[in-house]
Amino acid sequence: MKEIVFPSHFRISGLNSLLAKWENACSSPEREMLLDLSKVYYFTPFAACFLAALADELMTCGQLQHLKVSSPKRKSAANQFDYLGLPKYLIGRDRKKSQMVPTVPLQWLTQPNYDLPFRLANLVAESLSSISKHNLYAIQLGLKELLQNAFEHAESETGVYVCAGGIRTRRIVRICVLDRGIGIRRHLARNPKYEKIANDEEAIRKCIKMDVSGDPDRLRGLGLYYLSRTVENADGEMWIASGNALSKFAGRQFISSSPLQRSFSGTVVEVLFKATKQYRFKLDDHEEGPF
Amino acid sequence: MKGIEITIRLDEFVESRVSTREDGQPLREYLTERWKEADKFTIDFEGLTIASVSFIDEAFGKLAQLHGKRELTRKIKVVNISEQDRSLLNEVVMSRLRQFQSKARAHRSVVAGSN
Repeated sequence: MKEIVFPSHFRISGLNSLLAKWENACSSPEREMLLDLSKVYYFTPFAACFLAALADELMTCGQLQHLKVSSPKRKSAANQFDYLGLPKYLIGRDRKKSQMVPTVPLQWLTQPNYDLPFRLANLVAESLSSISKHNLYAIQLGLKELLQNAFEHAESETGVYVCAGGIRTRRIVRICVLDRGIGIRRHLARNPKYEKIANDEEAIRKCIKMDVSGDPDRLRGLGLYYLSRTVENADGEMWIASGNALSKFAGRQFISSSPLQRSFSGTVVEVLFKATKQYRFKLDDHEEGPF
Repeated sequence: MKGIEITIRLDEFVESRVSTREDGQPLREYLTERWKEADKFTIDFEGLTIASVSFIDEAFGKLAQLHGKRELTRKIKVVNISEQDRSLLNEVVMSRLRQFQSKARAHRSVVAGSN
């Protein structure tokens, strides 16, 4: 049996080493595989999306017939593993029967479901015990925009993974949307204006700017721009990985980028909001708005 | 229809579909078709949370770009909208109005140049 051991810190910042594990798992000729999650210290929504996508890929390609999972040893991580819904997506699963599990934050969608952002935001609110309507709105907006991008632009043949979660003690909310589609660079290249983008990092940095879209004929490209401003005002951060790049932003401000040694086919975005009570949803101190 | 005021209950008009550009398009088309004839549109957001840049831009942003701020605020009144949706609506519309203004400036300079 092939064993894939995951590290204690299962975060998007460690995507390079996680993609090495992905490649190792997918290239294995073994019929049985164990995903060893026993050391994992904490499961972020990114971790949930990543594992569900990996499990899907493992079950549809290669020789794998049985996928086993060793649960996390740490109690809080085990609770989180259950809360996010990972057992339902990983253990004893049959892809043909795999459907949305409506009671858990981790969701696998094969078609758009725009009620989901409201439901997930409410689940997060429950997990934090209380949340301001401004925070709730920011979560709804973030999930809606990311879902829409995934379904309208990514052309993923294997659906979209969505997850949201909150940490009550730190008043932090994370949302994640992962697709296995064409990626940001290829999408933008459909617009002649962006066909000469040199690499994935440049494509990622461009895509959060206003009016940047792969659609050359229409006024588009506001969603990620406004999401980045919402993140900025909520004192949060945003990670975007696509192709061979992983970039971090503090709202609109680019913080850092690291090359991915193994290309990530698709796009994954994880957003972190600080759900502090002081935060009010207000994008800018602009001149008086028309409404 | 001169002098006519049209009230649109958004929840009935869109049937809770308020997420995508496709969802916003029928509202923009409805307003555009009646723009010249009607004096005022009152759009009632009661019971709805929009939280979608795409919907707002498609329904209102493009109208703003076409008609400008004065005409837009004269014609459209929004009621029962949440504080957050109002903030987003203002932001998206303002961004399109800035494009409208820069286009208008460019047009004026072309006209001035040709004279």
